[in-house]
Amino acid sequence: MSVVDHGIGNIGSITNALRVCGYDSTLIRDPDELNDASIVVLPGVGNFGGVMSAIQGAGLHEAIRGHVFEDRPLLGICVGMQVLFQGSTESPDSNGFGFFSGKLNHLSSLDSTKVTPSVGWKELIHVASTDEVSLKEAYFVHSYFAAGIDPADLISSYVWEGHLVPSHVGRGRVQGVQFHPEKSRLEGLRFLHGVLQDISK
Amino acid sequence: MEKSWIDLVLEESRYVKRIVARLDVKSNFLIKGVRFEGLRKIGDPASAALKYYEDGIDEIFLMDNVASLYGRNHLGSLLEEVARDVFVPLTVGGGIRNLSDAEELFGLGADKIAINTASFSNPSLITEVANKFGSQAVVGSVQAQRTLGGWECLVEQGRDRTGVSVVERVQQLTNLGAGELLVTSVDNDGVQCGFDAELAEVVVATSTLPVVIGGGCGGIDDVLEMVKIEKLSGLSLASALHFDIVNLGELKAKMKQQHQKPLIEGNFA
Repeated sequence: MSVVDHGIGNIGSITNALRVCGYDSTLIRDPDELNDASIVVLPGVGNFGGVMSAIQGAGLHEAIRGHVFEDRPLLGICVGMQVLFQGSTESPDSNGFGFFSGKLNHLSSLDSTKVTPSVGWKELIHVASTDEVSLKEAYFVHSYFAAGIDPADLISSYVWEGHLVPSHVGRGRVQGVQFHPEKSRLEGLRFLHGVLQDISK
Repeated sequence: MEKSWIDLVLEESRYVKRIVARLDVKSNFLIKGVRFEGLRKIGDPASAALKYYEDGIDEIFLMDNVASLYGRNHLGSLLEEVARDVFVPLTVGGGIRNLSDAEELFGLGADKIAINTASFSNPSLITEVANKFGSQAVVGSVQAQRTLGGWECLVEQGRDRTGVSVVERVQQLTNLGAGELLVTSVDNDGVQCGFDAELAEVVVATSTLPVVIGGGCGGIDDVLEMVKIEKLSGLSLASALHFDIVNLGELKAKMKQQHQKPLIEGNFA
């Protein structure tokens, strides 16, 4: 299990969670280390542009693209999911990977009178069935959401102030979750384990 | 008009607030005082964190109670231990003076850090941490003490006054880039007399950030009283959990029932 360590966020949470799932993690800081990676987990918190430039700064951009184009499995978490899309209004000058079509918009574009970021435990609404263990509720903390996505990529959503917001997307061996499975109790870890099994089949 | 299922999900989520366990720590002991004074040792913080996690807590807040006084946070090894077994968000506060203090705590397993005292002398600290780790990783912590006209902010764990009103402070923290606010009522802390609902109302009306209110929980009914404040994001509990006054499973079930109650009454109206 390879975890991309671009230096932004709590990588320790992910490796602790993966350990409980039975995976030893290797932290990836160099593109060569991705050459023979089996599964890649791309974490990320904070700012879209910050995460993208940290990935580029470490020279990991092409290596991650290569990994995906060779049909090897990748899971993006939180901003690690967001950068799989084409871009974000948070950082108009940064391009995302574009593995999924759609761009990130601020939640306030749905309703500017509501509290942001969206923080807390939310019930997931599954629109697509997958083999993995489906998760009932998960911990979210985010201000931007994926808009204009291909409906075929949607796996689950949640309700934010009366609006459906994507929580889990996937296409082939590339998946992304807006929530934090590594912070969603034992059920979150079971989900993480299930997804990783699913995308490595 | 019949409600759509989206409306029903939304309604329920409004009545279910995040419950945060607040663990004050001093020299590796879990401690608790009354109105931030008369601190008593009451147990082992790592075991308490694990127990609350197993009982279904939503988040855990570890507070180094003397850190600010000695200028550094001592919770590193506790944090590392807790993060190995506890898979809910962990916030750490106390004695965080600069970006490298924050970086160290994030590296050891913190998901968020809480800042109060240091940000009075160094307001840009919150902005610096938010720029690097994102706003969601920075909790602006406020210790609020009632005055004649409102509330004043205290620092150094309630030891020093600041002369700054809570309303003014909440606006500052929002502008500096904090992603969340934790507001503790010093007057109600450890007294188990109920939360300061007025304080909560004022804070949620002042900021667009998620707000967690702490201080005063004396039982499940005190929480149920607060879930009516729609914009409130969460409630922080300390004594109520440490002294087994609130059972988390029962509390969660009651929060959901609270949501269903008005609907049932509505059917008979």
